Amino acid sequence: MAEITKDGEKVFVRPGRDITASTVEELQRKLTSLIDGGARDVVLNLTEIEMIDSLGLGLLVATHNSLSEVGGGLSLTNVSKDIFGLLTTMRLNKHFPVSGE
Amino acid sequence: MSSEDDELLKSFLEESREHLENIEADLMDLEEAGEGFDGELVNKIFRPAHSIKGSAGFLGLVTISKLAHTLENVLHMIRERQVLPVPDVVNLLLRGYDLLASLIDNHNESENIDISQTVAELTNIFPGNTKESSEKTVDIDSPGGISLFEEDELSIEQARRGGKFIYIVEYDLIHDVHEKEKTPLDVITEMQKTGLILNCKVDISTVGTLKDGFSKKIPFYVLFATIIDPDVISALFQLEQSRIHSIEKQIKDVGLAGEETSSGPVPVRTEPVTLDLSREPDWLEEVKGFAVRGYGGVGVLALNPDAVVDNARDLQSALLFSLEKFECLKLDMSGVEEMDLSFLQVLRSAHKTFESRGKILESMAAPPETVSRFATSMGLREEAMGFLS
Repeated sequence: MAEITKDGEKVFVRPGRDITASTVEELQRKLTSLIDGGARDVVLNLTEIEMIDSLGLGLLVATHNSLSEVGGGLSLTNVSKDIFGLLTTMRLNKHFPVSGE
Repeated sequence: MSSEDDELLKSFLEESREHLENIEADLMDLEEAGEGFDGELVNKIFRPAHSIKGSAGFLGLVTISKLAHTLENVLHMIRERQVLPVPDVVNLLLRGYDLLASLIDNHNESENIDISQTVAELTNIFPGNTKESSEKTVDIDSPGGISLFEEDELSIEQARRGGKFIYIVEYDLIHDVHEKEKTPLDVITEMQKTGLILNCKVDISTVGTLKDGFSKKIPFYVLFATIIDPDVISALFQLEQSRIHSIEKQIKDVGLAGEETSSGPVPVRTEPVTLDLSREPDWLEEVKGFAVRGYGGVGVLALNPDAVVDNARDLQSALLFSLEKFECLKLDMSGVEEMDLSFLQVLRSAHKTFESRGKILESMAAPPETVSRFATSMGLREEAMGFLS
């Protein structure tokens, strides 16, 4: 289960497991309900996550889009070296900040 | 609304209008100042956005506050010199402030007005993304006319040297990657093995939001430079031909296409090239891990066992290097035991490139059986790899 901490409009989410086809639906539900509940800035902590597949990428982009719509934003922290490389090569870090810390 | 609220709203509206009166003139001054802008001028433009953001937020005017916040961010980046006030940027700011003024004039309706387009444009300004207007760039569009990339002419020129083709490869991460049981990382790695990703872009607006169900289509466009030629590239990436587009026409229109494409076929030399390997090479160097020896106008490139798997990119570089240096290049494949498909594709493309320049690429001796067996197992016709026998 994802770990969630709230700080006003800012929410920290730590999925704790790879973001792939099997885990995407639950995470989508969680994020949608957070945003409906007023979350504006979502910080996804990707500690311990080694893999993001196409659906996972879709989820990240959709989350960014949903948050932008309400004037907020997404950021990723603690990403692994591979994932950092993937997201920067794909230029996704131009849409939302991605950091290894 | 209480009369106190009324008062607050009234003074907010008055103050905001005052703040915004001079914005246009200030922005024009900023654009004119360019690189040598004065920090105080930026502050002058920043302060209205900042105070409107705060007051609007307090009064529950979320849309106004959000737009002000976005403007504030851009000005902050300018103040920090992460972004310069070039015309493109200043225009976006002008539009943003115009919209802000009209939202304030219509504050009762402001919550219903869609500002997402303007916000997206302003958010798209980030360090490293703005170019000086004097740099020459080429606009690369998708076949459907969607503007994809703006590349500087120099990068395109450099990528085309040595016979490289430049393509727009159109992936749909769901259909072409996920449904083929691959991951995005697989795809990127595959591409980087056989060429150079000049630029790429996920079409995030097509993906939609969390409520749209984002697993329908994720368009991913890659501007890719490689020596692999058009009839081979589709097989290599397992993508229909219709999704791989050469940008030749687009850059030709801008006058960038070089002589390689406009000249006719070059005569191929037919005399056999003999080589006396007992003598010392007059030239010997290691190119990207491959030993290359030169005997006059003839080169010999030795393919060692560990150099041919996952190494297409380096092989490609070594071949291109040899193309420039020699009239004829002989491949010493005696050491080859294992290989992958990219290796064969690179060889095949290189052969075509050599041919188009009137040069020769051939094997020194009959290639080991492993090579012919592998080629056959990959479905490559004999004549495709015939140059190796």
